[in-house]
Amino acid sequence: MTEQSHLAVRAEDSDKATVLCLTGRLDGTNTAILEAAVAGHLEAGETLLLFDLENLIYISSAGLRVLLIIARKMQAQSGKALFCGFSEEISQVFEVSGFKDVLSVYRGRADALAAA
Amino acid sequence: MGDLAKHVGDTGVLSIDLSPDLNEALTVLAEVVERFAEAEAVAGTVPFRLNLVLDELVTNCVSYALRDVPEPQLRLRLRRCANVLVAELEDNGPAFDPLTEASTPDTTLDLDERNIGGLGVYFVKQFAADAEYECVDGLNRITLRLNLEADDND
Repeated sequence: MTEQSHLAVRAEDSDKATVLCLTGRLDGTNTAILEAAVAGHLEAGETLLLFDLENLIYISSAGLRVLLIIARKMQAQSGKALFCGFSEEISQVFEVSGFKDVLSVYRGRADALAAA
Repeated sequence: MGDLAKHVGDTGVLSIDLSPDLNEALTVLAEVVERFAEAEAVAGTVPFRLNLVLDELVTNCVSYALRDVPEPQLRLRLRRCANVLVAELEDNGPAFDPLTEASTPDTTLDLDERNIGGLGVYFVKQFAADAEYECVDGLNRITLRLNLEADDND
């Protein structure tokens, strides 16, 4: 029996970027769901992906790793991954890990798109 | 997970054996933390932090320490003592102290240089008030303490 934490990834188009809204948990059981959801956007050569984490209730180091890998892949193809919508808890995780300084982090969707 | 409630006794101590299968262990852990937090009226960021530190230790344990153990055992105990949550994790893998033997990641490197990994134990040290390792009767035991937030002290 394979169990997975719940994670849903919904893509929305905006003028500047594809916005990927994450709902649920991102941990060691389900990072493949996010990788699969992002693969098509990477292959299509999209230059801007905005990850809206507003409805993400949990992330572990395994989840952070996947976000870092995605950000690197985007950078490698001259694109950029942006992140916004942090809960207090996830904000702490980004702070402690130092990912806040490494990744492009914004308060809300509008801030991220305005800076893009 | 409908029978999880029976693991929480009247004394507020929860004890559960976790599966050596990573996905199963992590999904059960999330459920256990949520139910324990509800039962003990723990709110704020504490349930998240408790889940995170246990997730990182369970992941390391199942992925490495217990990988070659014929009859792997991984037991979690949770209890609340006044304004402190105490979590104990015991496994029967080879004696190993992840708290001293894991390297500390450099959190100042940039996107390309940043090493992927080593964050798990660092999170344990940062998000728990206290983490202690001991080897007891041939078992590895890690005891974690998390302080409850002001909102929980009613």
